[in-house]
Amino acid sequence: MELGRYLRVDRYGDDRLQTLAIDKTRIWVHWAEGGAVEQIASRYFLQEWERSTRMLRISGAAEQTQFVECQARWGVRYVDGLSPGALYRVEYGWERSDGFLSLYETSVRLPGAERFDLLPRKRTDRISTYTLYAES
Amino acid sequence: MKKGCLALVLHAHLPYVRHERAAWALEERWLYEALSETYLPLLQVFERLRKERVPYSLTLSISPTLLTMLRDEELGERYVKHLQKTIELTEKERGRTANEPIVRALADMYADQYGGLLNSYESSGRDVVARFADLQRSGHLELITCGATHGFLPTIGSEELRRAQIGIACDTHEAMIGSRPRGIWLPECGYLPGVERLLAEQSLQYFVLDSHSFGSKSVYHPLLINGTNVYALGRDPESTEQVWSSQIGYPGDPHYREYYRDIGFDLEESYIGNYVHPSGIRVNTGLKYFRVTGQGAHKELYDPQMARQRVEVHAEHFVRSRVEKIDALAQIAGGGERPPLITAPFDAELFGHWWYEGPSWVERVARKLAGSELAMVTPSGYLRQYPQAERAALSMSSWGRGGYADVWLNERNGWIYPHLHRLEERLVNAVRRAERQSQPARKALTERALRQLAREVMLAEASDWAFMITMETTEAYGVGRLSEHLKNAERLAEQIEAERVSAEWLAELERSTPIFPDLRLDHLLPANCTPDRQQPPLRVLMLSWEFPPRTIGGLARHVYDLSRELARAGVEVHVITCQGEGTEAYAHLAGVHVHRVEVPELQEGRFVEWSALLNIRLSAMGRRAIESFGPFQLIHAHDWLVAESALWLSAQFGLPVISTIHATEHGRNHGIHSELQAQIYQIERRLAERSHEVIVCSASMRQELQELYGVAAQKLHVLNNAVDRKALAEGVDGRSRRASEREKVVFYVGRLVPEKGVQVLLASAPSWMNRYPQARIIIAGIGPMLATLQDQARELGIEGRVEFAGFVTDQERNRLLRDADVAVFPSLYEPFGIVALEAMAAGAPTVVSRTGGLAEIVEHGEDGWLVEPGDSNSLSETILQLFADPITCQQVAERGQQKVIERYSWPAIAEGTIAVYRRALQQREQEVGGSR
Repeated sequence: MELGRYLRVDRYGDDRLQTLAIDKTRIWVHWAEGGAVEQIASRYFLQEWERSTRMLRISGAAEQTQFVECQARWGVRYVDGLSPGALYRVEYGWERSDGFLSLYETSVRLPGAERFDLLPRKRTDRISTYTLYAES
Repeated sequence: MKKGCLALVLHAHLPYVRHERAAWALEERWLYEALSETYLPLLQVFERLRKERVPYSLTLSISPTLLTMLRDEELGERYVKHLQKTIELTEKERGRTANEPIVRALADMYADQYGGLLNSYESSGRDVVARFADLQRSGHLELITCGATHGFLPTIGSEELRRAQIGIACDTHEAMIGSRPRGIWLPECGYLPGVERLLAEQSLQYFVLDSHSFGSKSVYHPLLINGTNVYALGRDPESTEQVWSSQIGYPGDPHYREYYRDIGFDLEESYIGNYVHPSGIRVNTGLKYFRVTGQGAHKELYDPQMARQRVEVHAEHFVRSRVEKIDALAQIAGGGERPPLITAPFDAELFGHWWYEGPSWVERVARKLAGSELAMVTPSGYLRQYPQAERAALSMSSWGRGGYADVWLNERNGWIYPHLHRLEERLVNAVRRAERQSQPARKALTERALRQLAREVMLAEASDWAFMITMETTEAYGVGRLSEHLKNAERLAEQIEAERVSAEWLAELERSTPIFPDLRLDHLLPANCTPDRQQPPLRVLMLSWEFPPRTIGGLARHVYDLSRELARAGVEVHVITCQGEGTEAYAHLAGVHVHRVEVPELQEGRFVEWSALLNIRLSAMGRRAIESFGPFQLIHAHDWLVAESALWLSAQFGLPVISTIHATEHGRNHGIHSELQAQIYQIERRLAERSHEVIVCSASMRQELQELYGVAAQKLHVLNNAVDRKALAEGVDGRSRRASEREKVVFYVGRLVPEKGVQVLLASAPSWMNRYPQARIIIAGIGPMLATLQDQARELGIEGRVEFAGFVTDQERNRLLRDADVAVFPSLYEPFGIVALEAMAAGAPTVVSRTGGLAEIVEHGEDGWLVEPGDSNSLSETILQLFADPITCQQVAERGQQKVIERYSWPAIAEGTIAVYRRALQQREQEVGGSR
């Protein structure tokens, strides 16, 4: 059976970030850059879009944020060293001098007694558009 | 009463290994071997115990793939041929071993055994399933189900497919056994939080988990899973070790038969060639003459008599150990209302196939338990008698290596899931779309194709393939089967999506996989989403960055009310928006489908880039919604913050965009003064230019857009905002809480930003407060100007008479409007002014600035009052006038209320919006027609 064509995930052309828990400390992450990223990010982020190295950012409440380099615009990675029972935010994007630019985002909880919920993020529904404007 | 209970649970499963074109497929032999060595011998044990009136209760899960193969007439025919061939071999062996008395006795044993199996199989009409069902009817067996194709639930990509695995399993079980199952064996004991809800949907009462899943809780008492009435039973680790362990487990006893010494491998090809695979591949024949003996290669001949003695010893040991365990538990717990339950689950194929003496051991255990202090029970029997249980939430687990998903998801087989999950989504989307089709002729073929697509996807989900790849046993077969089902599924999905199903190819697939003939497609629909059977007149994808409960400005309320009213008018509306506090990724609310994305993190000074990230996420979600619920006719965008996603989705799917511009960047800032404002201005302009139709809320906004962006007058439509009178009545009991007639309350509600002019209201206050010493102001709302306004009140010396109420709920707002003597909205810029409309609708005397939409709503002195924007003197005079003449004030307020009720209603706005939609579609049709 010829599997070559099937192993090319980019043929789907969709924007995707997906995670599954493997065990108490490992997760499986699949990402694929699709049309929306290509169209919108390339317009707003210009050369950065072409040149930047894609990364996975895995952050939980309990420990330091992990960064995992992605070799291509689509693929699968296995991330180790996480905490049992913890909830993680997994993002795909690239790192810049003033922070991480997050194209896609999802979350995954590892098996084990539940603990370590994500730290609440500064949500834009708690601030007015005018605060956003003022901060910009 | 017995001291405790034992539930022996056997799980019988084989992957679907029927091969239409290869009756000699190696893997079909798995079924024949399991029939000869496990299923038929176990049946003989169960039937003998029943005949001899030995009381016993045992639980047997039979996977739907196995049930289907056991009921497959063609496979039954092939099995009989296989048995006949084996019997022929036993006869040949009797001749070959004539001069070796011990081996000859074993050959005789096999000849009797296989002859008996054939007789037993034929005399029951080849219907093994009916014999199991009969044992259930007589109360000796409890038959439970498993996943439809033994899909490992934690790695299945969508809840719909997990639901289908469970629902189709229950249907298959009922069709073949004659009754719905009460319990389920989760494939590989693979549990994922939330699965219990799917089990509850099928009225399943219990499932079994490995012991580590219970954490610190005792496995000897079932747990009730939070939010459902489904029980989890914990696997007893000690029973497991005694039977399963490769070091100390019973099957490794030196006197038991050695599995790996089969004459299919041991004898010369010239002799055995006719009884192995036609291609020459050596296989097990079932005829084995040696015993385990020890760890080394040397093996002694098998002695059935000695093996029987060991069975007796091991059965005695097993029962005694369980009784001792119960005694130990009683000492710890000091007794209680519920006797402990020992759940001992095993793969059924261990008994007979791997462990030749296994069925005899089961029989001896049952006989010994009959006279012991331990009751042999089924889980449902135990739960019926002792329904009370501790409630708990459990995390993901399995009984595989490491206890989680590692066997089915690792570096060797992780490549499966990106493809499988996409096909799962395509299947669910295709089913959902088909639910809406009304052409009967097409539907019949489409439904057949959908059922086959479901079969192919679910067969690809079988945990067996990923297991084979991980273990590198029959890996090529696992990869081959998986790829075959993925390829078939993909081709079918393409044909269904293109509405070009090949009837001939479909029939070929159906012939080769005659499983789940009556597969119910509704198992693949989301639980909380029942799609309309009828095609709605319009299906609209609405984009808004805010939607309740995420409420930032008036936009959320507007989109909520409009979408709800459009849904009432028969339009199917899907809102793509951001997550709010406690919201789900998808919900069906008040007739509106709401899809939500996580909001990206905001980096200081990067508001426009932030909006680009938000739009990437909105686009991806929009695409998924279109693929799941489509076809859509239109995209409706609300304001510049969703412009990029609206335009991308429009280009991607060829849909016209209608945009509602609620306010402009220029208007908000009285011009464009910064780079940020210029960027937003450009995005806004692009949206207005590329939209097929543009809706604004007032004539002044129409003029603004014409002047600012040069939008053609014919594509601009004024549709006012409206109020929901029912919502305004919530929390209002009709009795005013005003302290006295002398106390005057001036009320403002809205964001605290410069353009709302709250500073003008405060500036007007000293003059009218001097005349009315008990008058005060209540300011409801939040915003960046709060501190400035508080400072202003202090400077004016009125801080004790100004209450900054902060964020108020809708009910609180309603009560404040009812109690207000005057509601004031002194905006400097106001595209429409929904709050003024709400004040009027609530019957409050309302004063507004002569600006934008506000000036269009109020007719001065007739139904409200207009003051000049930014003019605190004008405002002060008006307030004093109203305080002085409460009767006129009340009359004007009543006329205002009547006007709002008559003119500003959501049904009218929805009707106007639909008219704009229709116009856009007509224009689109003409454009497409013109380009042909």
